[in-house]
Amino acid sequence: MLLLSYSTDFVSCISKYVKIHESSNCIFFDLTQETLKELQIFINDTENDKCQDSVALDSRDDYKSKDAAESETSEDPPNKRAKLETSITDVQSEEEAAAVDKSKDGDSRVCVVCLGILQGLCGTTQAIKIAEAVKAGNYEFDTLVLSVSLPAQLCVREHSCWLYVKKEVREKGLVLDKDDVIQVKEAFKWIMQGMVTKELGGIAVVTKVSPFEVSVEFTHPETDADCHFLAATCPDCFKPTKNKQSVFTRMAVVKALEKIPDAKFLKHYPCPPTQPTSSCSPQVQCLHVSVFVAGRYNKFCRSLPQTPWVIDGERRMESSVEELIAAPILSAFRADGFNFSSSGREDVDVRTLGNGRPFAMELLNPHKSRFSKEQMKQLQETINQSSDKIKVRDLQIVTREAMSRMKEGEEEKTKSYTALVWTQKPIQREDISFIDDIKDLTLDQKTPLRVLHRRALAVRQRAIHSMSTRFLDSHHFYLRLKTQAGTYIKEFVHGDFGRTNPNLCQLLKTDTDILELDVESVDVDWPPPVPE
Amino acid sequence: MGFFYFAFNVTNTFFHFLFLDMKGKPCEDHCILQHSNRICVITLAETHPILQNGRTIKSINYQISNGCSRLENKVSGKSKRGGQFLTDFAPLCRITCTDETEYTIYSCIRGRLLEVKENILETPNLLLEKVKPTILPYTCKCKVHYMSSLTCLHLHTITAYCTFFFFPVKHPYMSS
Repeated sequence: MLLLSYSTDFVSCISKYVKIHESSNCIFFDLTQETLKELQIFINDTENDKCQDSVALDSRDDYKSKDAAESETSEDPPNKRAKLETSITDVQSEEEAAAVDKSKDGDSRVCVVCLGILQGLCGTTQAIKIAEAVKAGNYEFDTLVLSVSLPAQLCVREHSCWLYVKKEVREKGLVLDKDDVIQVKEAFKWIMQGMVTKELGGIAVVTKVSPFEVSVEFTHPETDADCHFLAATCPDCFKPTKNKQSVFTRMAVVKALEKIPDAKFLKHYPCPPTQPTSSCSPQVQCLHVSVFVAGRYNKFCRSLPQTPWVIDGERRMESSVEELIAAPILSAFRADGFNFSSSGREDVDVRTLGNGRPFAMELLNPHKSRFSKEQMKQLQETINQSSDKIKVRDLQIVTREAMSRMKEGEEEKTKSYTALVWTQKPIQREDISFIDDIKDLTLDQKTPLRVLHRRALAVRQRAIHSMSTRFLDSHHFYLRLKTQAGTYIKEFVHGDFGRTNPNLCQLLKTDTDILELDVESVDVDWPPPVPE
Repeated sequence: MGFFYFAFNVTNTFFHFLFLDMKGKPCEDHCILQHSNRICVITLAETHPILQNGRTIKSINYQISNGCSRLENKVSGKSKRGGQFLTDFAPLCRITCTDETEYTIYSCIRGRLLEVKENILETPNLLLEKVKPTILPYTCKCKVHYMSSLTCLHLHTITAYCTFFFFPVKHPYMSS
C-alpha cells in the first residue's frame, strides 16, 4: 500500500491518496482506520515549525468519527498541514517540510486542489441534502449509484499539484506514478456513499451499476478561466461548439493535459495553483434509467396523425396516436417524457385494423418503474377506455433492444391492406377478376409527389406479393393487397402521374383513384402476445 | 381565390392555376397543378393548340440552348439541391407536331426544376392524354377542401387572365 498524504500550506485539506485493490471497498475502510491512526501519530509527531491549525473549517464533530465499528469512511477535517508524507506498505513514513509560506488566516481558505469539495462539501450536511433531493423526487428504487461531476478546471489544478508533488518526491529520490494518486472524485464518493446510505435509511449505495443515479454536479465559476490557457497551447483538442456550451469540456481538458509538456504547462499555470476565494457549488439531480414499454395499436379514426402535427407552432390536427397512448402511461410511470417509435406509420386518413401495428416507447426518467402483469393489463385497459380512436394490445415492459426491433419490422416485413378503388370507366365483375391471379408484381416507384417535399427524389423497387378483389358496383371495388414493406399503395392505385409503374390505371386501362385505405395487418411477430 | 395553404394531406389535393396566352401567344394556356406541399406540376391547359384539331406530336426537345438541356437536370438529397432554376418565361421544352407547328412550353412560375417526364420522349402522344383529375369531390372529407375544389373546377371554365403569383414556389416540374 502506498500512502501518500500531500498537503502544503496552500492545500487546506488533506487529500489522501491510497491505492487499494479495486474489488472491494472494505479494504479501504480498514485502511482508513489504520491511516487514521497513523495520521494521528503523525500529527502528534510533527515538528512544530509547521503550522497546525486543527480547527476545522466547519465545526462539525462527525468528521472526527473514530468509531471503529462504523464502516463509514471519514476524512479528517481540513487541517493545515505543511508536510508531504510518503509511506510504503505501512512501514516507511517520510516527512518533508514544504518550504512554503505558512498559512495566516487558515480556517476560511479554500483548498486549491479540490476547491472545497473535500472540505466542507463532503460531510453530513451534504449527505442530508442529497438524501432530501432523493426523497423529494419520490422515486421507486432499491439501490442507487452516486455519480459526481467536477468542473474541468479541477483537472488543471490536480495536474499542477501533481507536478509539484513529483518535483518534491524526485528530490527525495522516489518515484511516484500517477496511478498512486486518488482522484478527488473517488475520494468524495468513498466518503459520501456510506453517509448517504445512512441518511436514506439503509438503501444501498452501490458503486457500479444501478438503475437509479444520483448525480452531484460541482461548478466553480470563479475559476472557470483556469483552463483557458489550454486553448492556446493545444488548440486541436478543443472543437468549437455550435450551441452555447463551453468548449472546455472535461474530456477535452484531460486530453490537452495529457499532451502538454510539463515545462510548457508550468510556463502558463502557477504551480502550486492559486488560492480561490469560494468553494464549489453543488447541485443534485436524480435520474432513473429509461424503461421501455411495447405493444400493438389499432387506429380507427381517419383524421388522426401518428405524431403531433404542428406547423409554425400552431397545431393543425387535434391529438395524435402517440399522445393518446403516451398520456396514461406517462402518468402511471410518472415519467418526464417519452420517445415513441413504431414499426412503420400510416397516413392520417388510413385506419389500422387487425392485430395492429407494433410500437415501443422509451419512458424517460420514470419515477415508478415496477409494474406487475396485472398492473400492465390495467394500464392497457385505461388507455383503451380513454379514447375510441385507438386501441392498444399486448402492452408489456421490454428491454432497450425493443427500439431496434421496430426498424426491423418497418423495413423487412410484409403488410396487407384493403383499398376502396374508384374507376372512371364502368366495370363488371369479370373485368377485375384477373387481378386475383397476379403474383409478385414488381413496381418501380418514384418518390411520390405528396412526400417529395421531405424525401429525396429516388426510384424504389417494391413487390406486391398478391392481390384479391371484391366487386362493389360499376365504379367501385375493394382491393386487398399483400405487399413488401415500404410500398406506396395510394400511388400504385392512381399511378402518381405515371411515376409508379406498373400501376392499377395501366392494368385496368382506365383512370382509377383510391377512396379509402386500411391497414389489415403488419406481419411482425413481435412484441410477443400477452395472453388475456 | 387567394393563397390557400392546407396542412391536410387527406388525398392528393391539387389546386389548378391557369396561365393564359403565355408570352402573348393566343391560347397557349398552361395549367399549373400545385400540391398542398407546394410542389407544382406544369401541364397543358385543355385550350392549348397542341390539344386542338386532332394534332399529333412528332417530337419533343428538351435541349433549350447550347448549354442547357432539361434532361440533364439532377437534384440530390432531401432538399433537392442542384435543380435548374426556372423563371416565369423559362422554356421547358419545344414540341414539334406532325403538321410542322412548333410550340414552346414555359415554366410559368419561379422555382427549381425537380424532374421532367422522360417517357414522353419515346411516346410523345402520352402528352395528349388528359391529366387525370386528381380532385374527386366525394373523396374529400374536409369541407374546406371541397369548397376549394369547386372553385378550381369553376376556374377551369373561366378564360379570364389569372394573376396569381406563387411566392415562394419551390419545386415545379414538367409533366403533361
